Amino acid sequence: MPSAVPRYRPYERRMPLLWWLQRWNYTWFILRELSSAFVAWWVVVTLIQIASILEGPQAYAAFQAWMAQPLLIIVNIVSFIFILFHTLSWFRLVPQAMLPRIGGKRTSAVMTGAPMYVVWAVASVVVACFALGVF
Amino acid sequence: MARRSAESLPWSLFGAGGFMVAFFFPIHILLFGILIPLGLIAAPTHTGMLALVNHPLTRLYLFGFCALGLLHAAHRLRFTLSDMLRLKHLDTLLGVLAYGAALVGVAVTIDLLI
Repeated sequence: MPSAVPRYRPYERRMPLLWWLQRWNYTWFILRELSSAFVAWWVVVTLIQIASILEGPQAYAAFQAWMAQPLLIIVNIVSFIFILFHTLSWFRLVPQAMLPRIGGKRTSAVMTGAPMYVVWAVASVVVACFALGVF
Repeated sequence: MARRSAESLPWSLFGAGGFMVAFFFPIHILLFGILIPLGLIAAPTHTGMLALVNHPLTRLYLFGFCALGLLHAAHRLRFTLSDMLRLKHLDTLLGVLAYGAALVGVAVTIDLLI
């Protein structure tokens, strides 16, 4: 008896595991996406910070001593660089995705991007003032 | 009007999280992760921080900070792992793990702030 119609597997191009190191564009893309790991890390830090503040002065002091370890400071400097990378690329990408119009005309990327830097600056100053007890 | 896809909820949360991270995360890390631990800025007192955290608006802000940050990170990590390590066949599992972990984090946040 002749065999049935052969089944074909869909063609899949084999990619090397380190495909994202082949071009700088790919590597930047992966680095930008990896910034999200540092976002998750910093949410965890913030939750520990809130819990220690709510628990009392001793726990808060312990949190500060923990944060002052050299290893954690290094991790946080790396986190800061990755998050800045996220911020700058986000501000650059959003105008391309939102395509805002003023009076029926497409606005330029600069016009859409600029207000976000202003909001960023204001937000940072407000948070710093509240955190440091200026308000 | 374009039809909404099933992805529209995770996608809009991802977008909102992207703005939250872009606007508010740098200053938190700079202050609490670098400048204060290095002793370059005096650490805020416990009394001041407790009063701040106890304010309802601060709690609302901190909830948005943590919840949107987690959902944003989950959405991105899921697709990064699947692309970077060629795990397309595990896409569903990665999605469940990433969003599951984010939802656990959101639950912890709610528990802490309410």
